[in-house]
Amino acid sequence: MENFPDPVKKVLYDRLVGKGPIGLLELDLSGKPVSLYGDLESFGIGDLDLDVAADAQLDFLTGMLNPTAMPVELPFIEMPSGMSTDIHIFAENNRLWVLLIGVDDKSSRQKTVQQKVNDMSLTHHRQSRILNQYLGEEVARRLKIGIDSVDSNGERRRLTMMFADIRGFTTFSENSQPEEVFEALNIYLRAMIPAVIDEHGVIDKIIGDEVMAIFGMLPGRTNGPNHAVLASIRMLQAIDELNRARRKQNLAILQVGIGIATGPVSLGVLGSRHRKSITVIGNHVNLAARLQGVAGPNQLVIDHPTYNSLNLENQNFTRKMVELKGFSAPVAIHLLEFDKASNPEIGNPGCDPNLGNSEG
Amino acid sequence: MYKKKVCMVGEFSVGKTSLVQRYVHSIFSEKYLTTVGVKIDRKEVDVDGEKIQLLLWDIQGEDAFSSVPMSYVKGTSAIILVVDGTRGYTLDTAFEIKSHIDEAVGDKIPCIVLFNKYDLLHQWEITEEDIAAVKAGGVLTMCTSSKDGSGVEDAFESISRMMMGKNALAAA
Repeated sequence: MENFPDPVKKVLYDRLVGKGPIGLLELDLSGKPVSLYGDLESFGIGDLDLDVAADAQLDFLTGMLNPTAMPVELPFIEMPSGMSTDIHIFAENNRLWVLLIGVDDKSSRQKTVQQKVNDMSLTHHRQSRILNQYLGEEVARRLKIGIDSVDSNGERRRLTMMFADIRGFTTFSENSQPEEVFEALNIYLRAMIPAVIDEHGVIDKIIGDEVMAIFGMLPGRTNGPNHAVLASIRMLQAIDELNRARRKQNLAILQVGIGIATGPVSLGVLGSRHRKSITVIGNHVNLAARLQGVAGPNQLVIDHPTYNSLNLENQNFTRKMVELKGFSAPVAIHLLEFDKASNPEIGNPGCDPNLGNSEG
Repeated sequence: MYKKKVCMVGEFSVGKTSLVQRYVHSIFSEKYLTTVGVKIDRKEVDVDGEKIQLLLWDIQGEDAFSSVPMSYVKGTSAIILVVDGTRGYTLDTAFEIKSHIDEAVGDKIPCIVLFNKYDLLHQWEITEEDIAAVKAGGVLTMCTSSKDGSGVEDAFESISRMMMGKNALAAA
């Protein structure tokens, strides 16, 4: 690179190092300063006493000048001047070198992203806490039964996975006040979760407006696919009732799309003592998520194995073949358009005396 | 005067920065502002007549996307693990970080676990059993609140005493 023309060197230098200030401390092996280079004032480093080790004068070097443990890289250290700085410490030619590179721009970009991600994570935790106040004990109890039933080394089971979310929720959340968004989300989830619980499902994840549930893990009065479809219809019904009230109040209507797939999946329990969760991995999990993507507002889309396992009456599913991302061949799906009038026999699930009160 | 480096570590938003701000500057803000990298603060303390200068390394919290670089804890004299009492999983995170620190710099360094946000006790997910389990492992624990200041002075005084080879204050 020595032969490169100066303008090229400058571009490379700016690109590789950035436009922040640079400073360099040359120390002897005992840590005493020998020479100082670059723009050290930008880092808030004034005159250093040449007879005193640098780590006694500069807080960020405390404990860092052991020549046998080099090199050391310390990203994003806030210097006395307030400048965020990447620090590199090397031992070379019987000298210790402390290279300081100002990275305020990089740090501020990182801060913006990190703040957003952490805020979202805290919001999610708060939202889960609110949910738990209403439904947590039962959800947690079901989850624990599910977790306890899983072989700790992992296992393979035939299960039914369901994904449900609100259509157009991102647009709604972008155009609404945060309070309105969280209120709608909480009302929505409080309508959705009992449907899963009543149909012997396990809530696996709630991410924003997306609910993932697993059926077939807990004993029920019928098979997993039946429970999953019944839970979906209960959800669509609950949302329908919710919307009637929201229309009267001139609030945004919530429309849900649901996808269900059944098949063998790898099942395991991951996480630490406080954050145990069931993890299901497999093609059918991806398929259920894709089917949810295919489902329009107030639609339930199920795969063929789920459909084949159903013994529910009067379900007006329409069969279709669709191309799905990640699937090489077209997939047969069965689509149910929710219309309360066309599903009269499930219009009042409370009529079934067995619902929601039996584990076996 | 002795200079002692103390590293504050834990999950993001457990209150590491707030603890330092409360202890060093006697201030508290409700607003959560994430820390990128490290901010170093100083505070002079007196341990039985002996002055030491604490260099408090407020290290960015661990989150789903980034872990604490172990280069930050090089040369540290003590570790403060901070846990958010209202988020139970932050205790697991604290001990995951501790195990990485033990691998990097050894497990003989004085360590204290602070269960923070004590002012929000009614929202705590951390239970007495959790705290008892940590104590049973031989680690000093204290409950703190950066908001009202409770336990904060005692916590830093305790870790200072431990670094000087003296008995810590009685645990909360």
